[in-house]
Amino acid sequence: MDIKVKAWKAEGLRGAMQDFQIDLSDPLRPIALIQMPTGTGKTTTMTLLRKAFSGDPFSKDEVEELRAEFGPEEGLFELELMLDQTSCKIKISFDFVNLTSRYNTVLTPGGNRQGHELPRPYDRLLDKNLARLFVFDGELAAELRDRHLTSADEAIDSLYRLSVLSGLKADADTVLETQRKQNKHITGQQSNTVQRRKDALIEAEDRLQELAEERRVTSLSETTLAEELKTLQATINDLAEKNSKVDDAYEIAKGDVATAAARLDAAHAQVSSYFRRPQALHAAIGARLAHCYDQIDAAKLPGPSSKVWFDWLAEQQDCVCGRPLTDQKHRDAILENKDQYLGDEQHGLVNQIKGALKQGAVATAMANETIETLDDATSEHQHAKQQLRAAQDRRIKAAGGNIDTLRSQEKQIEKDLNDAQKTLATLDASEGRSWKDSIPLCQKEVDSRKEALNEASDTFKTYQKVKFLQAILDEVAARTVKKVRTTIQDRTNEKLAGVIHAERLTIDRIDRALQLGGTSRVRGEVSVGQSLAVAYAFLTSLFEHASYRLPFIVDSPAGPIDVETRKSVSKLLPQMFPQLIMFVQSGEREGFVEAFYERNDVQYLTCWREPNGIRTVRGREAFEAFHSDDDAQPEDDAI
Amino acid sequence: MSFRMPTRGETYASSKLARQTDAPKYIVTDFDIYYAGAVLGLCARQRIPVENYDAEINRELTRTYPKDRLEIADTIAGMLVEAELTRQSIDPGNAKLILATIEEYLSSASQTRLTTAGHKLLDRYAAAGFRLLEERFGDDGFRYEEEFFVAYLGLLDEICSSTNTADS
Repeated sequence: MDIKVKAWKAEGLRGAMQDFQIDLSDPLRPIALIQMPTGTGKTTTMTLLRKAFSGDPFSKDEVEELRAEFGPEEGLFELELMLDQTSCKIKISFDFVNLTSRYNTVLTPGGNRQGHELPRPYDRLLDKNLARLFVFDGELAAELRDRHLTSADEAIDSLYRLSVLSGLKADADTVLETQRKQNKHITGQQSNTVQRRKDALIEAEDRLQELAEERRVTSLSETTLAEELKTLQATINDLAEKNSKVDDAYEIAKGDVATAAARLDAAHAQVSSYFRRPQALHAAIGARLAHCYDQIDAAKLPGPSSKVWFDWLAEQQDCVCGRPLTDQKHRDAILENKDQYLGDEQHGLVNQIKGALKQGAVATAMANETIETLDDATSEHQHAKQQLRAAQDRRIKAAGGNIDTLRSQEKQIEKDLNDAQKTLATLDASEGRSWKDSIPLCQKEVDSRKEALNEASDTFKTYQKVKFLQAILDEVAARTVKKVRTTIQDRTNEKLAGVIHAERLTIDRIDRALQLGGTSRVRGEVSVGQSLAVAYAFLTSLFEHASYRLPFIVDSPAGPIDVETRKSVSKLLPQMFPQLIMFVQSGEREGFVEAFYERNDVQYLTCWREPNGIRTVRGREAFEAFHSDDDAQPEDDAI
Repeated sequence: MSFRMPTRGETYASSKLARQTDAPKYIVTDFDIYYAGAVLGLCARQRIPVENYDAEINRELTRTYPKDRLEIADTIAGMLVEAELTRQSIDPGNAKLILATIEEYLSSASQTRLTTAGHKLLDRYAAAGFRLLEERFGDDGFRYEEEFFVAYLGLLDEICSSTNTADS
């Protein structure tokens, strides 16, 4: 499935969008660089493109926003696409009197359709969430990493259509509910039982919803508190740093913390390398494996030979010793006793386990000193941090700062954070808890009550089939999500290694949001440029494995990125998208735009504002000559 | 056939382990957490009763070892057989019982070296491992992973030292 943007135009909208059109089809090239100064309606264009792709309705406020002061009563935005071989125009007409909008779709072949009526399968694909990905919303870069939000998961869901599976689950429930309603042969008494069980199920489902909501809210609160704590601690650090008075004790404490952290990191890494090998965890494990080997060996397992060999021997004319096997009783004796020996498979299995035991037994275990070193390093690090904290407090106090208030706030946040974490643990636990307080137990209660209801309403068989189908769908969804996440995470990390050279930045995990990692103990926030680079690496990995070929439209793709990273991004983006439309500013030339000058598949458009709309000029010469938003207009043929 | 996460392990995965998100982490996957419980249970030679399986074992974690952990399959299989033979006090000369135990739980055809029964058994050892962690450290989690390592390895040392090679 291939979607390409051919052109778009706006008429009668506010500001520069009064009369504006971009035609990329003469000829259609894979890359379009559009230079538009600030105030020429880039943000509005991006919003309108997103809406046109998704068919998302406009609110009255949104229509009002587009109305030009003293302008016409009607406006239009039209997007022209190629959907594989079908030409498609999506028109959005605005009525500024009633503040309404309506979509119209013209397909060639296919004719005119009222509404946002794309043909199958494009209609299922192009929705609001997906449009945010490929008509790239700059805010998405930060949202992808925000653990309060689920943007990374939503992006995966949008592109890989994982919601289809939950839709199927809901469909299965509908089938069951319909059958339940149709069971008219149920007697009065049965009907009472059904109602009672239905109420019981609703009670459990409501409780499960409450617990899930409590978990969601607590989890958000945990994230917020952790961030508040981090911010407060950064404030305290800044206050201590700002005091320029020479303070040897403070400097020494800072140095001690850095040394202790480095030692702790090294000890931590060493123990973790042992942790991953079971036989290295304790000397007793190797000894036990050796003992087990001896035990199997003492039982003379797997034995000298295998019983298949005796089957073979019993069929031979002569025994292996050369004597003829003429007497049947000799053959019978061979067959009778063959069971004392193992079959080929058993023989192989026992040999395999003996090999494993032997290998495990000789492995070197972690020395006790290694754990002691980690223990010491942990204590030393804690102690150094306490010393630094005391030195910070003295320094801030000496400068007249109110450290006591800050420390008391810190204590309170730590307490709240701890409470939130305990609540989460309680909600997730099941041991010794009632179903009303535990999510796993409540889920089980819901299942059991569902079963009871279906037994009573004579839909038990259907219920079991639905349950079976839903279990399969859950498993398919879980495996798909896991596989897609892992693949995308790996590919994103590969790309990040190629894009950001200055420091190691990785995605540790995709869970709601992109969770960044690395192994630095004091890990600061990523810069806006890094954040954008992470978003590009993630999105290009997403699109790389999708079965759709979508354009990528982006505003100021390299704005906040440093020059080195720009060069890498300029190589990355064209590789990943069949069509790339980028709104750039003259400030993005260095390292980014100039990298495209070497290519011959790029078209250049330069736009600037005139009294009645936007004037657009095509060509690289004009593009290069247009140095800044306030520069003189280029001399070239207007289109 | 799959590894299934014990419910107690789930709380380690979600909230108890290394809550300080900015600190370095080496235990990054849920499988690492399962593994920590399984090793502890196997070393203690303790497993939860089979009738508690459904109540204490939760979702499917993974069908096989993660790619970078496949090398431990043999050792874990060896530890499982060792724990079972010791628990059942099987006479070292009893080839028949030893073979039956190996055949019940191990399979050379499986990437994990375990049969379905072997997987279930390992899950039970893992669940017992998390019980031991909970008994020792209660509901409190660990702020930093290094704190967990020190505590975990200390407990493992106690367990291994209190049960000698042939003990049950």
